[in-house]
Amino acid sequence: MTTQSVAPEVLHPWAIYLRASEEARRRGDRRTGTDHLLLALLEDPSTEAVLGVSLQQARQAHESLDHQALGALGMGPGTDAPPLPMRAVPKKPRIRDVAKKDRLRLTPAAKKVLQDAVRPNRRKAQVTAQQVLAQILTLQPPDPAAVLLGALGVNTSEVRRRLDAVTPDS
Amino acid sequence: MIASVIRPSGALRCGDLLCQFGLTQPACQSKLTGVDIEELSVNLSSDDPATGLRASLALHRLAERVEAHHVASAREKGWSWQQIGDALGITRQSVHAKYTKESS
Repeated sequence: MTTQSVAPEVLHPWAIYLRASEEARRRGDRRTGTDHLLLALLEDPSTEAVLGVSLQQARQAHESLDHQALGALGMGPGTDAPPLPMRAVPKKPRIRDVAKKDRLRLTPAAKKVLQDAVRPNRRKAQVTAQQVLAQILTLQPPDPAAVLLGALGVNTSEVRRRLDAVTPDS
Repeated sequence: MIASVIRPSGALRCGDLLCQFGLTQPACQSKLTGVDIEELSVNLSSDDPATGLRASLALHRLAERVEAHHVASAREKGWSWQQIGDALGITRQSVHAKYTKESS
């Protein structure tokens, strides 16, 4: 394990939210959930390294969870439609990007994840992917992100330990 | 990777005893025999709310994707927003607002 002490990239919470909402749009969801936040974080290669899972793998796991659930209703594996196109997300989002009328709002759980991730920071407009990931790792199974991590076979306590090694200050 | 469904030990395998070839059409037969019988029966027998609620959301997602796909193809075939709105039972403005960015 190579734990380089590189300062983690500081993001605006909105940037994570907008990326997550595009993941939600891609899947045809109406709301941006914790699972979409997780997918948004996985766009960053450093998060992929910490979790040991790629974005593609996570998306596929999401799909196959859906297929399993539909299978339980008796719908065969043939019932599928291609994912929807995603829109470009600005790197530095402004209020008008976030306040768009057709945005996909956060689920209460996803909102709490972002709020709790920002809480310890002095500047509320800055958060790191690691802080958000640490919040996602605390979630328990009925939550979509926890279910997704379980399906991917991610050991949450192991990842948390790795996260602490990467960010010693927090 | 994901298909690590816990199988009850001693469950019946989809072998020659269970499958009789030639009863269904060839196109369907390949699909039928491809279905993992153990997995399917495990899924069907479970009235687990987690699975049921997930399935309901999955249906939402599926409907959304099907709608988007066919709105796009209707536009390509020259349907007006009014016609698409009528078909979906919503106003033409709602359809336009929702899909105009994706189709253009």
